[in-house]
Order: sequence, then structure tokens, then C-alpha cells
Amino acid sequence: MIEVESVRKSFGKILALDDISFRVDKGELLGVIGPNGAGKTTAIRIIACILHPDKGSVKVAGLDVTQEPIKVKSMIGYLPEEPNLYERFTPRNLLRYFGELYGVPRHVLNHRIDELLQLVGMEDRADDQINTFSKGLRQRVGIARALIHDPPILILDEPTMGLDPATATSIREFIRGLKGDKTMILCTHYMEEADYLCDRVAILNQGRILDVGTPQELKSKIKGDLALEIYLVDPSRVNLDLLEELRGVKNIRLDGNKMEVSLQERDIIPNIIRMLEGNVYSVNTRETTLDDVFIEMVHGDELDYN
Amino acid sequence: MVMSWTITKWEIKSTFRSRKFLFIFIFQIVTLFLVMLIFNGVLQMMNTGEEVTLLPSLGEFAVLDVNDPQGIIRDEINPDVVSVHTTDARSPMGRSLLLVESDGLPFNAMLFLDSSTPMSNIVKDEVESAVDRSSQKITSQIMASMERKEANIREETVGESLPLKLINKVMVAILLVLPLFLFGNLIIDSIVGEKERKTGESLIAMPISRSHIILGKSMAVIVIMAIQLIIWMIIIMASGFRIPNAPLIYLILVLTAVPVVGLTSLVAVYSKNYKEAGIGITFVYIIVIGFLIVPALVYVSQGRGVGPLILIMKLLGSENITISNMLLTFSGLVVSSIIFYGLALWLFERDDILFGPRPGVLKLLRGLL
Repeated sequence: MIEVESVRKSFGKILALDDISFRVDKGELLGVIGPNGAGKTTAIRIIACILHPDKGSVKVAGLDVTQEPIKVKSMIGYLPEEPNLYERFTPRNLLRYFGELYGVPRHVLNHRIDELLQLVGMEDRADDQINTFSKGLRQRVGIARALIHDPPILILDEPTMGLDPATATSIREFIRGLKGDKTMILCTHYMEEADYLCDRVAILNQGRILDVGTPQELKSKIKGDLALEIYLVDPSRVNLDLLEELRGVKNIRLDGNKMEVSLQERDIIPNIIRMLEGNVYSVNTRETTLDDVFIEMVHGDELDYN
Repeated sequence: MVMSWTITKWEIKSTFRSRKFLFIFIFQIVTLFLVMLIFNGVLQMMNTGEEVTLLPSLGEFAVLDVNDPQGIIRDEINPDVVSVHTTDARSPMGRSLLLVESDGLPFNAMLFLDSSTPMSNIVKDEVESAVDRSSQKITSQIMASMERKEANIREETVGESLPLKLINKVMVAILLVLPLFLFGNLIIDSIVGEKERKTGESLIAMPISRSHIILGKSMAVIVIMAIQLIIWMIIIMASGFRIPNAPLIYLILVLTAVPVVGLTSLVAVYSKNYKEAGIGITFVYIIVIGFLIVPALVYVSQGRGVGPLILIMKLLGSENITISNMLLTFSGLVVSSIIFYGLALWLFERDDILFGPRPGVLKLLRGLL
């Protein structure tokens, strides 16, 4: 559905995207994660025809974004990082304005507006001015605006950033409800959000794609399925080489008196504790998360880059 | 173009919903109405030769010695303003002195004033008025005597004095052009506001070209200006001023609005924020007003020149307009519109103008050339 091929984009002397390529299949939700300034927003702005690529090609449903931007735009619903709505408008007027710009027929538009306002839980505030709304309410209006023309593709840039946990959860559930029906790209800082929602995740750093895969694939590439956190009495007494030779241990990181061991299987935990006998202060286990993957990949990339 | 019209329609709706705009809109109309009332009063006084005089009523405050045996000017001096004392002195003796020498007609009047006292101004003003009145009296006497002798000679009373001409032609023309410069803030708010409030990103994501966004927004301002122009013309006409060829004058004004809005759009597209845009349009409008006013002043003094304001002035004066004058003016408006909109659209298509880092003017010019 979306094919990004060797795209490059600079802003003055700053290289925002350096030869990135990825694709999004129909009905798939691709997450794009990366630190600030990684190029996430630039990448999705190019797909949404807001920016022009310097090099490379982007095709949406077979249409080139530089050749047929109007057709491409009409297939995309776009939610920018800050919804930045017209303050003097009411949600109903705003949706009507954007509906008209998307060319939604008048007889369909009124029904569609009511439907969307209900969907995002805004029917009670539909005729209030937007300048009286909280950030969460604005984000809901922003989502409704992105969906006003019932687009097959939805691009969401940090949809839950800065929202309280309850609102963020409701928006995540809303996005989850659209899965399968829409092809979606979701830019996010929240790894648990990407893990929870995305079919595949692309990790972006310094304008380059470090890896693309399902959350499970990415986790298994970097670490095991399980992380063991051990607080040591005396870190100098640990024989790391001996521990790394144990079958099932994928990675060991020592940071002060905290040792983090990535494991593929739970069974070897007693062996590790036995090897550290007398030197263990406390032990915790936790599942490997995308956070671990992200930190590991971005950290590794920055070391390589430098 | 349909999408441009959608933007135009919503911009107009949103503008007329704004209380601030409505206040300014009505305020402008009320101000114009009051200005026209004052103008009308001044013009009527100029037509009838009346003047507004404030009488100090200060008996013996200002005193004047007058040597005017025939009473040519003495009789015209208002005694409520200046106390007149008849004298036969020929030189000032510590007080103001008016010496009128007359060998039949014409006469010669000399006024000696002590400029160190504020009373001298009152004396000077009143003597000037008295001289004017006596001069008119003498002229009338001459005319009356000539009429008796020469039946074909008569006084011409139809026509406008230069000040009247200036007010009727220049001032009314300037008043009509004024609305074109009153709505710069609308286009600035419409374009720079999208950048400052960061709403532009969503608008650019719509299935509409960037050029149509600018054209739609500009069109909205032109429509609002056109509405304002109609109201202004009605007020001017209701105040008693004649606007001959009103539809043609209206057309010229609306066509003049196009490049003015185009230039404002260009400034707005390049500006990062309201502050920059405000400074930009101040400079630009001074230049534009210069381009409109200077040829008009040349036309008033020398009777020739080409430009929209000159066309309007000619139409207001019911003068003949040649086709070449019309063509030159309209082609000037079309060419300047094409240049200003061309540059504005070219800039608005650039990612660096919208999302930064914004290139400098020199770099842009180099790129353009």
C-alpha cells in the first residue's frame, strides 16, 4: 500500500532522512519509533505529501507522491503531532470545513460528522468553541478530522503525547479498533504503545532506518525473551566470561552493582544464581520490552556513528 | 478552483464571525461617515465663502490706530474684535497702525505690528479679513460698473476653486482607495496565522495544491474589500458627493485590490511571524501608496499621467478617459498581480519557507535568477 524507496531529505545543512526505505502493507499498522530528531515526522510528512523528498520515491497505492499529490492526499487521513485546530471553530464546523476540502458530498457529510463525533465521544461538545477544550479533547477532534473522509490510510504522529493515562488509553483503544480496516502509520515515543498496537515497527535514528520487524522479532534480535535484573553485593567478584558461556544467556550488561542478563529461557535462572552465590543482594525478572530494543539499537548505532 | 472557493468561503465566514473584525469593520464605516460629515460642512462653507471665526469679544484688548481717510478698510474691521482709533499718523507710535493710501482705486494698505505682543495676531487676522472683504466689495463695484457699459461681459461664478478641486477629486479618490490598505491585517492573519498557530500543516495535508490555498485566502480578502468598497461608496454618495461612473470606479478599485492583496500575500508567505509581517507590510504599503499618490499629484499639477488613482480622479471629474489610458492602467495592474502572486505561490511551494530553515532574501533572489 505504501512504498518508501531510498528517500533523502535535507533542511539546509541538516540531513533529516538518509536513504530510508520501508513499506506498509494494506491493513497493516506500522509503528515508527526513534529519538527526537530521528526523522520520524519528516518521513510521514513526505508520505502525506506535506514535504517534497529531495531524492527517492514514495508510492501510495501505486501513485507517486510527487506526481499525483492531490490523489494521494485524498486517500490519507493525517493527524499531526499537535492537532493545532482553528480556535474559533466548533468541532462540527471544523469537521464540515475539512469535509468540504476533502470533497465529501454534502448529504454524506452531515451524517459522517455526527457519526465521528459520537465515535470520539464529542457529541456533547460538538457546538462549543475549540478554544475551551483540553488537550485530550483537541486530540479527539484531530482524530475525527483525520477520519472525516473515511480514508483507507491513516497517519498518526504522536497521537497520545502529553495526554493523561486515561485519555491516552482511550485513544489507543480507538486506534486498535481501526486495525485491519485502515492501513496505518503510527509515530510514537512510547514503546509500550508501539508494542501494544503495531504489527511491525521501524526503528529510526539520525535519519536512517536501523531495523524493521514485528515487536517480537525486534526483541529477539537484540535480547532474549526475558531479562534478569540482579543487584550484586560486590560487582568485582563476578566472572562475566563464565556467565556468558552458559547456554541460554544472550547478553550481559553490568552497570554499577546492577547486572542485567538477557535470557532465552527461564530454566537457567537457578544456575546463574548458583554461580553468583553469596554475591546476590536481590533478583528480579521481567519480560524484554521494545524499550530495551530501542535503547540497545539506538545506543549501538550512535557508537557506530561516532 | 472549487477547493480554492471552499477556502474563500470559510475564510469569509470565519472573518465575519470574528467580533474583533466586526468591531473594526463597523468602526471604519462610522469613522468614514463622520469624516464625510465634516468634509461636507467644510465644503459648503468654502462654496458659500463663509468662514468659521471665533470672536474673542475682548473690548479694548486689541487696539489699532487706523489712518484711512476714505474708510475703505476701517469700515470693514469688526469693532468687537479690534478697537479702531482713527489717526492721521504715518508711522507707528507704540501701537499697531494701519495705513491705507488711496489715490482713487486701487489702494495700498500697510500694517505695522508690534510682534512681541500676542494681540498682534488678532489684529493681523482681523485686518486680513477686512482687506479681503473690502477687496471683494471693490471688485463687485467694478463689475457692476463694467456690466452697465459692456453688455457681453459678466462675472463667471460657475467652477471650482483649486482647494475644492483637490478635495473633490484627490480626497474622494484617496478615500476610495483607502479600504485597499485597511485589510492587510486580514491576509496577514490568514497566512501568517497558519504558521504561528501551526494549523497550516493540516491544511497542506488536504487534497488541494498550496497555490490554491493562497489564492483562496487572497480571494476572501478581495471579496471582503469589495464589500467594504460598496459600503464606502454608498456613504460618500449619501454625504452629498457625486461619484460619476460609479460602477467603473468600483471596477478599477477592485482590480487595484488584486495586486495589493498579492503583494501583502507575498510578504505574509515570507514572514515567519506577525511581527515580521507587520514590519514588512508597513514598508511595502508606504511604497505602494507612493506609487499611487505621486502620479496622482503629478496629474493634479500638470494634468497628465497614468495610474489607477488618476483614472479614478478623472472619472470623478467627469473627464474623458482614453482607451490607451485604460489599457495602460489595467495592464499595469495585471502584470503586477502576476508578479506578486507568482512570487507568493513560488515561495509557498518551498518546504524551507514553510518548515525552515528559511533562506535569506538574497539567496532566494539568486535562486530565482
